[in-house]
Amino acid sequence: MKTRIKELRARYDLTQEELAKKVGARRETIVFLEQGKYNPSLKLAHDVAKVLRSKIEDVFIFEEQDSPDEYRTYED
Amino acid sequence: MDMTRVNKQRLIFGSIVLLIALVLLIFWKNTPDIIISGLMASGLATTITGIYSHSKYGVQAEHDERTRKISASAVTYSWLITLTFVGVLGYLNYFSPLEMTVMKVLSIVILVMIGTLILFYAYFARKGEV
Repeated sequence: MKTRIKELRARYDLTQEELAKKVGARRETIVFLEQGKYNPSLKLAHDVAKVLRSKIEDVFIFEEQDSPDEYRTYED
Repeated sequence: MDMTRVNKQRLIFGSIVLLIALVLLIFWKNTPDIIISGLMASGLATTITGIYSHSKYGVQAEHDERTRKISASAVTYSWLITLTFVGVLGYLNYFSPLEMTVMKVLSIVILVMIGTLILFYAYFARKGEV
C-alpha cells in the first residue's frame, strides 16, 4: 500500500504531530502510515482523508499484490 | 497545567497508595513487610507511569488503534509463551530433581510473562504493524 499523506500534509501545511492530534492518533502511527507499513482501520483512513480534504482512495493507494486473487474484478 | 484525565488519576491514585504505605509504616509497626513493600512498589510504579506518560505524550493521545492492536497481540503471544513455559516447568519438576518453591515458580512465571510482553510490544512497535 502506498499513501499520499506526506504530499497532502505538505499541501495543507500540517505537521505529523498536528495531523495525529486531529485524527486522535499517535505521531508514530502517522509515520508508519506514511511509510505504508500500517494498514489503518476504515475509520482512521476516513478521518485522515477528511483532514486532508481528499477521498480515501486518493490518499491510500492499494496495489495489486495487496489483494488476494479472488477479490480482483472480472476485468482484471 | 494541562494534563490528561488518566495521568491525573495515576498521580492521585499513586500518591494515595504511597501515603497509605507511609501511614502503615509509621503508625502500625506490626504490618508485614511484604504489604508495605507491595504498596510502595505499586504506588511508585503508578506515580512514575503518570509522570513519564505526561512528559512523553503531554495531552496527546497515549494510545490509538495501532498501539491497542500491538498490545493485544503482545499480550496474546506473551500468554502463549508463559503457558508453554509453565508446562515445561511442570515436566521438569515431574521428571527431574528440579524442585522449586511456590514463591520461586510464581516469581519466574511473572518475570517471563512481563519480560516477553515487553519484548513482543517493542518488536511490534518497531515493526509498525502486527
